[in-house]
Amino acid sequence: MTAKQRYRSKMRICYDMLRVIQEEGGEAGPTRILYGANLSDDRLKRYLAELIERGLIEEVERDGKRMYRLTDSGRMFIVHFRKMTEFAKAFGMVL
Amino acid sequence: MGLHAFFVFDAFTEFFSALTALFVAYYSLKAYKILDDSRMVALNLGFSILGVGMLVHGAIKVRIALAVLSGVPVPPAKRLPLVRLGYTLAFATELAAYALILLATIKKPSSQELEATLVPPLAAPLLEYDFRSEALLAVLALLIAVKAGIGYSQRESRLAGLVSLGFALLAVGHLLLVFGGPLKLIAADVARLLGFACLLWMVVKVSRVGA
Repeated sequence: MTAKQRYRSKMRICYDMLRVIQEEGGEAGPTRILYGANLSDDRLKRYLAELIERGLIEEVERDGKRMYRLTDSGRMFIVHFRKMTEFAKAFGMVL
Repeated sequence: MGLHAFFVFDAFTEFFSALTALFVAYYSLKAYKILDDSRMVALNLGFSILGVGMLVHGAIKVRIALAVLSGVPVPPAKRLPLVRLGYTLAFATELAAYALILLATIKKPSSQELEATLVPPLAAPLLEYDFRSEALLAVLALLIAVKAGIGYSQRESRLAGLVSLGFALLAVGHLLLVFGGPLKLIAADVARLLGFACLLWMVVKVSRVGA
């Protein structure tokens, strides 16, 4: 993480978590999300609950393990976030 | 270009620019909802003010054009207050809009900073076409172009090149008005039309990201 990117907004963190799940093929375990999105255990639990509440991910069980699956709304959020990031960058803004 | 054609072209430029500005404002609002970044509020306010100001200025221009083209002799003294009101409105809204857009590209503004940016344009006295006001707008537009140009040169975004070019053309448009003359008035309109076309193209390209 560069000095410029030290602070991540809440939406950026949500995007990072969703991106990790997408890169894992649409489903990922909590440990993978924690490392991929660079989060503490506390924050991970808080943000996972929020993403579920917003309907961006859903909790599923795979061989007795807890996994998180990206929903269609989650995929849409990723696309919109990328578009709006490009829009902000077009004005020379660093996010 | 005849007088009739000039009025049509001038009104078209004004309305095209206004609708483009409002379209960018709409995108800024969408960006604010998704990115939750206060700079997008400043950008949204800036482009909204710019768009509404140009819509009203365009309507005033059409009103004056209809009066001139109708052939009914209207003494210039009766038209002058409307012309001055239109120009003052255009100047005040452009000044506020450029200041807000520039602020958005520099830092995350607080609500006090947003309010402070809006106060000086509201205090603008009634103006006629004036080289100092156009020069001020040209400098602000150029600063926005430079800031976006820095983003482009650092390869952060290709689209920043379009924003930079767009605002550079708007600055050229204001500079042409500084020097005056009928041909330069048409050239200024062309520069502004191309400037807003660049901004529109940028938004269209953003909408295609990930499609």
